[in-house]
Amino acid sequence: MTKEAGEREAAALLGVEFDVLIARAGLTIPEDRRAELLAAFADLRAEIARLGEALGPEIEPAAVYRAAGRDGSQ
Amino acid sequence: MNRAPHLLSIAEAGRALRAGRLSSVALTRHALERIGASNDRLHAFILVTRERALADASRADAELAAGADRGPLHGIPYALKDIYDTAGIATTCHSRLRLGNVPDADSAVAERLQKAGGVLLGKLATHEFAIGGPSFDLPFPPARNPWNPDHITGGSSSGSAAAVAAGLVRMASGSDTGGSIRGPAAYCGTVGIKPTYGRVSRRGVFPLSYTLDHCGPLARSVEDAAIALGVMAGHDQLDPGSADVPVPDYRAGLEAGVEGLRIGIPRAFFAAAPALTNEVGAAIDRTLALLGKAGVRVFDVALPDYALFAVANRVILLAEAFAVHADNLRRRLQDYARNTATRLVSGALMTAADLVQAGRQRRRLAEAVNEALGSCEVLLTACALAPAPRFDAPVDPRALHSPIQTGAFNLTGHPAISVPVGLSAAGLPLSVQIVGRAFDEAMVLRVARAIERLSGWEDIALSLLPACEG
Repeated sequence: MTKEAGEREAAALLGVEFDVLIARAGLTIPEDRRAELLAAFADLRAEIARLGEALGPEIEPAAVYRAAGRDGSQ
Repeated sequence: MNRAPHLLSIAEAGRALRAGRLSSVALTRHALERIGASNDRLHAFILVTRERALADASRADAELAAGADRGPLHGIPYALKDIYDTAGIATTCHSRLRLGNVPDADSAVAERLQKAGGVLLGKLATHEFAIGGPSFDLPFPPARNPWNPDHITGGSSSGSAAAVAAGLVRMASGSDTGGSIRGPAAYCGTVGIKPTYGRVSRRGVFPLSYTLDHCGPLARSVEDAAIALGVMAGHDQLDPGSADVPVPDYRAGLEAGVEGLRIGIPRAFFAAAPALTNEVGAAIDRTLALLGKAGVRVFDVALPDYALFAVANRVILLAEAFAVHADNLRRRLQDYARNTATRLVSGALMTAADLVQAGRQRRRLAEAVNEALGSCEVLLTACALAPAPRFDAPVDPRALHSPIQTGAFNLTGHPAISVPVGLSAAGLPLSVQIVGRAFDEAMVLRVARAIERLSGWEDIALSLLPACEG
């Protein structure tokens, strides 16, 4: 597969993924807005890839909360 | 009284009110006249609450005359960003979707300001739901930058920044999820402080992102901001994110100076940013030189790549905002401004794992900022990377913000302030950002006050006011 063909296929797959996610969210996107939103999706996917760097399993999300103090007190 | 009332700081006006040299009604009428003369040009106010303001002012005067003093905001006019609920007064979020919405109850901040004896002048323009904008496809026009109305104010607390900069009000409420207090403050040459997460109640403020939203003031000076924050801050059992941490007197140490303090510079954050202009870079260097001469020890500190902070902020913000707006996006997509909808729909396009991964990075990044703040009292970094763009400058509708570096501290929750330090060659404000340890807003304000004094900003800010007379 040439580089151009690979890029075309990736773009088509991204479009399919976009349509699935939009449908799953229950949204209806007017046709004249699709290109802009698809471009936003492409940007977002590229940005999100930065979050995927290896993190040790001990790194917990910031939203993990403590129901009591460290010593068990409230 | 020789000076016009709008030139008086909150503290000066307070002294004049208590000495009987000025009445709150006179102060309020003067502010209403200034709003009337400038709002067609600046569009800072969506709604002017004239009758409420005059009633608040009359009551404030009567109480002072009777010896009842509610504190430093007693009789002082203020205004609220139009995402803050106000009982009996329309709260639109600058959106078609909320036209006609009249809350039954005040937001916690509105409640506190009223109890403090403040005078509500009205509701201020915002970017739609604190995320869109600037937009021209909404029921109200966008606020314009008083320094040059062809330029944007930044957002989302757009009307708050415009009103304060134009001398219509000394303080206004804002909200900040990725920089919505500090960005417009930087573009319009006001002080804007995003306190520590949980410091100011979010109750009754339309949410954008539950874990990133911060409420705080925009003000004309650091002292005004300290007074305003002192009234706005405090624990609220009805806000699940509210922190039960004592609120100090933010004015107490304002003039303590900076000699002997340590300021860390996360230079890699901004130095390599493509959007950084030479003027902003030079303004930061000038500020550091002034601080060095004042006895501050300035040194570079290392933090993770700013882009990582920005992405984690963006993912969390979009996911939480989509959860807030999903139902309306399904039923009334066309009622949102086009760029609001583009940003909000993006929140539907990520996975659960993306959100969890952003949360994991968030913890790691917050710890990195805590570690950097272990070696210094505050960090000094860029706020806006360039002066305010023109309205007709090309805008990426997908971008959440103009080029500003503020979202990092929404992610980590640390207090951060934008303080103006000078003007660009085109006459637009330049600023720096000071970041402090959690719940140490007092130190952030103290350093900001020193910068304000060293830069001579208060005199520079006065140069704008003649142009705002109408």
